Amino acid sequence: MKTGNWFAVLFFMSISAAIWLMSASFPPSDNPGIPGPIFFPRLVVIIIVVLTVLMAAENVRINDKSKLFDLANPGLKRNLKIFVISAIYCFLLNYIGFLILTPIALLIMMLVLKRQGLFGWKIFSSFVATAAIYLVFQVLLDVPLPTWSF
Amino acid sequence: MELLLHGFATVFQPAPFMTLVAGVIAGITIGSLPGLTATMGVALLTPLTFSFPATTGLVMLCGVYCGAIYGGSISAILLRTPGTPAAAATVFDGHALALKGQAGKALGISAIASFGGGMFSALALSFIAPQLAKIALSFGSPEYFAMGLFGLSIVSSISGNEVIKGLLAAAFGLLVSMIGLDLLTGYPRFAFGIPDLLNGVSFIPVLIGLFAVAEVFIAAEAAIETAKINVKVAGHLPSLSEIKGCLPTILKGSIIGTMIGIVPAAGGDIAAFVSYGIAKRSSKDGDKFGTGVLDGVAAPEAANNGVTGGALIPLLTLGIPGDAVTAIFLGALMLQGLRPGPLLFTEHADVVYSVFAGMITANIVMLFVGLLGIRFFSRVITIPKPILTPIVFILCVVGCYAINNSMFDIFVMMLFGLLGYLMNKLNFPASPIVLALILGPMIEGEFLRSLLMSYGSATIFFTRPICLFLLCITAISIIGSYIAQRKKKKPLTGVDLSE
Repeated sequence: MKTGNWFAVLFFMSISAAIWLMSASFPPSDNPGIPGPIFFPRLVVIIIVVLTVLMAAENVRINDKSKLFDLANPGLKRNLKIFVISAIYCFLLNYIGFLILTPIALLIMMLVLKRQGLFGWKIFSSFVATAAIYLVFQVLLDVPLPTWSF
Repeated sequence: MELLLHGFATVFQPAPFMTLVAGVIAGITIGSLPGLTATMGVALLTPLTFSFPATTGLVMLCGVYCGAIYGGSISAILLRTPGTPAAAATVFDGHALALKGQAGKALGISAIASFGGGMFSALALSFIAPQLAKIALSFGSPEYFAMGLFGLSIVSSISGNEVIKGLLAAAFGLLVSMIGLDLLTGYPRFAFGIPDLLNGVSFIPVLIGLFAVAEVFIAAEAAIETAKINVKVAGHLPSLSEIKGCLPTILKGSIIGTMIGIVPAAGGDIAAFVSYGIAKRSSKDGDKFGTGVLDGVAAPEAANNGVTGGALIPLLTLGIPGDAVTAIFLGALMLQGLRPGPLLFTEHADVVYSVFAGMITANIVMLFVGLLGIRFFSRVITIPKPILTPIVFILCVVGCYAINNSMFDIFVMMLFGLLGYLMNKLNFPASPIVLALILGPMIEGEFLRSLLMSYGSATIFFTRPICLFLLCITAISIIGSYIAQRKKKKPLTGVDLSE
């Protein structure tokens, strides 16, 4: 947790610096006495910096040395696989289309989550779930879902 | 009263009524599945409401909300695993009753108490909210600015032991809310030349990402249960005399739940534990609580469903969401082009009173569906996680895509899903981002309008009594939570002050 908190401190400090620099190019306000577009981002950046310093001060005193990510943990490996599959699914959805891609993605995800057993169930549920979602969104609610576009 | 009757006439038309029933069933199903919370259920189904007329969509969400809170008790009783955090207190006596072979009684009294609590709070909502809205009509921009800040200060209360992390998450949400065209000058801030960002980040993909996709990643990482789940609904429903015996507890729980629901940031879990504690202390058989008594199920269930109507009071009257579910409700209202607040009661009274009627009807439907579908819902909770988790992910993607038919929204959802997962790992609460994302534009807009009113003088915020009062309680809320957290944390962190 302690290491993770340091990463969070680094993230917030970096984002604060980036926002501060980016907002420097914002134009001033047209109305005298009224803050321009720069005011709120910089105000929030100041708040973030103060809070981050407080968090860092608290973190110095924390004794928790547990690991944020344990690469030997099979759960983390499984999660990484699911993340990659879901990212690929989102990327390909607009090209391959919902009806073709979804049952394949569902089946692969189900297999990643549990390798043994329930194979018939997995095939059955991936097709049934695809059909049910398609029926509700495309047919009943008239929401166009992505189709094959090659 | 006439408006409420008109609301009922709207709700009982075929389309709204069917969607309400579907919402209740979906809500109970989602709530009963451990890992799928009421927040996630409402977030997942909000995109569906976009294609419906406002009243139809909102009454469906009322059904989902009420159903999901009740549904949490099913797995709490049968599996000793609360389906939602609000059902955590139901585990004590609910599961003990199930072990005694009286699961039917426990599930029955849970449905009846949930109905009682939900009904009481829906009636309170129908009668208190219009009066509060009348008072709020006198508010101007400075008061709305202060109200927005107060709403955001709730973050410090909902962040548990991590007030600084909660405030940091809220500040990050404020930064995200600033993406897009500036309110006064129209200058594009942090849009990086991406046309999709000019109108700001759409909050529905953020909601789905933080509350649903992040849960999918968390579920994928958690150990996949291989043991077969056996659930058996043994025994009969509670008898009339048993129900009669629980009525005082249900009434007390309903009042506690509604009162706690009105207070921003205090949710169903707190209400359930408070109600359980009070019921235990005030009962003659207090020592039997935990061993399987019906009052021990009725008290938390009446209270957690009592929260549902209470939580909508500050949302509808002041536009301040008190927790994550009401923040999503706010999103759903805005998706329909409605802005919660006192003007909603004058400009869209038909929608507001339909929501009141929808809440009342949802509780009645929930009672019938809950009692008749006990055996069905007890089967639902046996769906294996390896099959359910991927389906939830696909629903997230499709729900997100359905709003604008935009792939960009899906990428935003994935980004916030990953962020939500990392936040969970680092003990950062996710709700503050949503609250800030929704309240940010309101705070900035009302602040600038206030300054325009006063020709640039900031004294306007300190010369108006209501505004000053709200600013003071905002400061007290944040500082008080931080001090309370520090006091609580000292023994936990293992810090030796003598060092």
